[in-house]
Amino acid sequence: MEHSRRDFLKFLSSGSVLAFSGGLFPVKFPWEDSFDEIVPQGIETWVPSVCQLCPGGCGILARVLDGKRLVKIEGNPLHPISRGTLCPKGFAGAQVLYSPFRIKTPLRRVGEKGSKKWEKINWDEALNLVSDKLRTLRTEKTTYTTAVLMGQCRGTTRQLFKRFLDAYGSPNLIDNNSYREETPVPGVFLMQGSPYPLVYDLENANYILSFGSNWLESFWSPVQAFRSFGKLNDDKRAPRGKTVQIEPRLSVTAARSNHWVPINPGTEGFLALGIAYMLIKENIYNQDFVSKHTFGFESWKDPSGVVHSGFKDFVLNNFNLSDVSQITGVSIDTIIRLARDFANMQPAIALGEDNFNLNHQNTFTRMAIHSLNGLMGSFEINGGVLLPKVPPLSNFPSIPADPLSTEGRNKPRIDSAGNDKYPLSKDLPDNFPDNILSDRPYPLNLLFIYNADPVFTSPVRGKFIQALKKIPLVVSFSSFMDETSEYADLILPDHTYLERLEDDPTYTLQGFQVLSLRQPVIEPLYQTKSTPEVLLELSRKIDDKMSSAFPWKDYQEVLTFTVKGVFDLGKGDLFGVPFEEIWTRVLEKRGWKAPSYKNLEEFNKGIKEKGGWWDPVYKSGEWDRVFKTPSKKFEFYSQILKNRLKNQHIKEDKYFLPNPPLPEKEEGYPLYLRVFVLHSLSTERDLPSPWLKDTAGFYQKEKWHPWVEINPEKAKELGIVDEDLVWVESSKGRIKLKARLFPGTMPEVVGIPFGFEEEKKDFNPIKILTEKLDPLSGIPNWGETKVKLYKA
Amino acid sequence: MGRIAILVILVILILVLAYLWLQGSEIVQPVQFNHLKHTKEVGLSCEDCHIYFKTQRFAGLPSMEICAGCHSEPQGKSKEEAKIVEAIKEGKTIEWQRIYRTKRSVTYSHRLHIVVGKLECKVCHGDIADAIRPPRRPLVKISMDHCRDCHRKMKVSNDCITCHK
Amino acid sequence: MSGRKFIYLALIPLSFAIFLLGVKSQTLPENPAVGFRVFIDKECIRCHSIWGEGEAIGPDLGKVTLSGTFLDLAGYIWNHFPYMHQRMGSMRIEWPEFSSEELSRLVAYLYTLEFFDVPGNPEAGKSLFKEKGCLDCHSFEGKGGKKGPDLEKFKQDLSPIFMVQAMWNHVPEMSSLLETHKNAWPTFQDNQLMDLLAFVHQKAKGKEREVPFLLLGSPETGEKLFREKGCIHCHNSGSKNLNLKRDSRKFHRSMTKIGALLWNSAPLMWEKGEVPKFSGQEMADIISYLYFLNYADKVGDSKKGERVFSEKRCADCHSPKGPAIDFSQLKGKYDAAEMTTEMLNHAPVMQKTVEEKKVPWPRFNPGELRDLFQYIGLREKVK
Repeated sequence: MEHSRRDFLKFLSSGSVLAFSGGLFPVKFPWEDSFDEIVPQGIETWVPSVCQLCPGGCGILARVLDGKRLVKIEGNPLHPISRGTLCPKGFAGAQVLYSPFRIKTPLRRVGEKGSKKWEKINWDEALNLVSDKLRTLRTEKTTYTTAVLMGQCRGTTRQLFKRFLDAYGSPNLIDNNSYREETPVPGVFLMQGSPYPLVYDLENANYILSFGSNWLESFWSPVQAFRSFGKLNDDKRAPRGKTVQIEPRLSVTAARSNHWVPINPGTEGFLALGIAYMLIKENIYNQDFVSKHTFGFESWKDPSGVVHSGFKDFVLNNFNLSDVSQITGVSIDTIIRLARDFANMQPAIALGEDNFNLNHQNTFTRMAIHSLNGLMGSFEINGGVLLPKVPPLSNFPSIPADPLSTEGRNKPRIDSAGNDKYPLSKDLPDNFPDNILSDRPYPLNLLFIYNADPVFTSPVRGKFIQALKKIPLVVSFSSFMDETSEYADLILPDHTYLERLEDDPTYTLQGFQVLSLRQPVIEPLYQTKSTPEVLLELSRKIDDKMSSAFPWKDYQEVLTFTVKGVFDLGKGDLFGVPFEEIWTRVLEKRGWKAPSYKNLEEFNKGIKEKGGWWDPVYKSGEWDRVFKTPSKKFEFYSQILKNRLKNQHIKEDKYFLPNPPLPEKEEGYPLYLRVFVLHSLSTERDLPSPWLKDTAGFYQKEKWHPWVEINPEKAKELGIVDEDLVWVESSKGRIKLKARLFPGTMPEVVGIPFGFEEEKKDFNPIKILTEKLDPLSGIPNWGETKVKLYKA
Repeated sequence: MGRIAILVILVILILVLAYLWLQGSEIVQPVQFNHLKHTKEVGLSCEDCHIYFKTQRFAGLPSMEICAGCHSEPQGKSKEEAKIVEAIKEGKTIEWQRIYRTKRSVTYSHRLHIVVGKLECKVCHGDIADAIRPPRRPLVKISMDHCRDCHRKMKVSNDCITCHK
Repeated sequence: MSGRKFIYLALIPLSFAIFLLGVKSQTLPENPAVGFRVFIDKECIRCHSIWGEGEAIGPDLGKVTLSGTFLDLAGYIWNHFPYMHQRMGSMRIEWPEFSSEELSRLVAYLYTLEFFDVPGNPEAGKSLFKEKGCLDCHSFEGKGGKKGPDLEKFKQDLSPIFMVQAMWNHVPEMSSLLETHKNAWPTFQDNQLMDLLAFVHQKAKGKEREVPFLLLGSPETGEKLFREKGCIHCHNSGSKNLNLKRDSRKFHRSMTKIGALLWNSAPLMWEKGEVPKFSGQEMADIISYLYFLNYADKVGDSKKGERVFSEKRCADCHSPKGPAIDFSQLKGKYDAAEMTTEMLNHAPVMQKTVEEKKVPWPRFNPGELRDLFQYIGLREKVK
């Protein structure tokens, strides 16, 4: 195209010459947006996979250029959990993959343990080191002195670990995960008896009464929680759902809730029973449900003629409103209103903390909270408390008979889980180091650590370090040099979740089973190896007996075998658009099905292309399954606890009822410490992502480094001004942090975010948290830490 | 004196900028490719050479393999064609220049517009199929207003994040 | 026989088969479930819910009874077009354009909705179980007869089709037993079979079947089975008891209701001699064949069609002198599905004209479209 003179004149007359510079000149001005040459070009593919930066199980789509370069992670629109969206953590996955802190080859410790001196070795050598040790232990018949400390892990990989230990001959699979896939929190377990965790149908509830559960920030499946919050506040919905947050600190959840009720720390259980008192007193609880499906509400006479006090009398006698108000600091008016709203806005859910390690609630406090669900009968209904099933992977064939492994398997566990001291425990990771250090019940020779970082997350981190130093061979599978791996002898780095093949069975908040497939979006970047593959290889190297228990060629074959279990179920369908969900559901409810696959081959192919399979039906009303207590009912009076404590000859009824303890005072430490878990750091691992650290403290505009929140009035009293450096000291130790004045913190409370581990800086509040374990379950009780504060 | 100096400097500046404008905004292709001949006489479709516009964000400039599909031997007597034949024989690559470029802040996808939106190439690329020599600048000037107008007409979202993501 | 002759001979049955197929594809729909995809693609789901799932702007299609032939159902869509179009306009949804294939699928899908049963009530099922005498042979929770298996041994998640199949197949054992017991044959009405099934679901603990569900049956295979299994010997157009031609409407009801029909008349059938047993898939196909009997339109009456043509004032526009296309030119151009598609696709244009001329929107009663099309003249079937 030619330029006419007129064009040129027009150009000149247009005044500012610079205004034309945008995009016309070959020279690039600093204010100009650059052209796309630096944006990577390439043939794009979108690979469906599953995020693993938290237990949520969101489906992702990875945008990969030329099959080798990951440029973007987005939510998979077909995936029922993420439905095309993701949380900030999910998006930051690319930074995890390309992190400079990844371990690129197997490493062997050279210097002292913990001295961080390593040498690179090849995989053969590394595997031989482990298999030699395993073989030696087998010849010495001490196979049981092997243990696995396991973090977030489920599905086939988990089954494979279990099988490995079973076939090898050890009972020591220790779960060290804040959201345990196969265990409900003890308080809930005592009342329902089911061995699996619950879900809360948040989006269909009308009223969510959260007792300290930071569900809009550090929930187990954040994307589902966010979406539920959106649906609760949808303007098409009448009435909109209401959320109440009961917490000593104005957390993100509290700030977004309709109502924030500040409460004295550790007294949530009292408030719950205060509400129960009102419900009973005003007779507005669900009497039909209570009479049909609960046990221990009214007082009763047992066959031997002894009269037991039931929940009703217990609450009416002990939790009148003025007492509760005094203990909790919540006004009587508020308690009355909460109780009436809870009763009137059905379906309503009482939400407690379902985390294990992070901010665990006392077992009886948790029971008290859950009793409200029992009173209102919020079970097995839309917008209530549900008990989901996990997609049924096929069970492995039984292990070939081997007296050695049978003997080893039947030894007591190294962490003493389930003993009389902690009768409610299934795993006792925080008791584990104590046992190692005292050689109880036997010394440990070999420890595998998978996806766990207890030195970072456990209040007993000091003991953990000593224990790790004591164990002769510690093998870590970590992809990053985390705190625990620093004390390992050998590191066999796993792929990151974006390079790994794995299944991921989980469920939605509506209780629908979901099986997603995690598939490698790119080829592994470094010389890393998938841990299940390592297990298969080790089994082949140990001896014939072991290898006969693992007849599969590779992990893909194992996966094909286990996933067939879901195909055999013959229900549900591959992921699809929302209407397909409806279609599948209406058909299935009427006893039909029209799946989009015809045979196993198409099923497997479809799972790879769409991301997975699910069954959008929750079969409610299976009371036998939901309440697995001796009475087959919801138990206000826990007979499970009574059975477990048989040896201790406790006669008093109040011990089996939700009877929360009063928070203890500690001389010299006047403040309660509340460690809260930020969304961006809510995994138990320190994610190497600058994006996440940049978004950490939203309200305080803080990033990268932790801080301590103090009430402005309290700060004035202590002579502290904003951004001062202060010492936070507990009876265990002290850490130095930046003080931030925050009116959303109660005067008696200071708040510190969990996470943020950086070298040589004592930031992590875990270092001053109390080492006390919950008496029944052996879970650390963070909430009982008291501190004092002074200027540094 | 001072005034004249300023004036002179201003005029020189304007001239320099004008020169840059005229020079820099024109793109000259290494080969004077005749679109018309390929589309009308040979009967090729756009997709035969720009192979990616239905599957990718970019349309793709033809690679030498695509040219070599026909031009490993001369098909006519054109001088321009000879350049291609020679380049193929010598194993050289012809660096076609892009005329349409988007800003870095814009995410544009050919696939979304062609396959999902069912737009014709013409909407943005004008009568390029009938051009007998390569244009030196875009036949249709694409500005943000242009995009927004079309999005409004087609009832597609005009939210910032639709394109700037 | 020479090769060529052999080929000619083989061609005769082949051409006959092709003829049959050709006819069949016009009368019976393919797997109706594919129509639900049209339902999404054309955005029907944005207004119409199905059994309470989806947006509730238009009527819930699962709750209204959509009975009638293909043209009757298409007529429903046509009749409420003005209202629907207005609502769609306010929601900024454009009137979808259909291909004849898409429309056939969509209508087949709507026809199918009635097929799916309302989930049963286990409590009612429990009392039925006793009432109907099932308890005489089958037991649950330790109570009941021992002749049949205990309910706990029943397969979990039994599909209704399997239940109907199982019941049908054990009719001979049952009838002999019942004779000795002198019980009247238990019959089922309404949704009773679903109630019974819901109760069985509650109690069944047996291992799930390899394939606990069946796909919807195929009406085409069903028709073939109907002939092969010999049903056609008694149930043909000349039979008294159940004349398929006469009673075709009787089968437009839900799956278990058809099952109940079969069951209720089982003793009568068995009296007449050996009746075939069916596999689950066969049962599904047969029932689905029966269900779709009323789907195909009968040949219309040209004279009535002429009356419709003038009454509905089609003649105002679609006559040789009218402004729009002359219907007399359409003779033999389209088949029924194509004609309906053309009609629906030009509905928005027509609505404007109709409004300008202040003519009421033409509404068609069941059967009228059929007659009208006959009058216009449909394309002859492919032979």
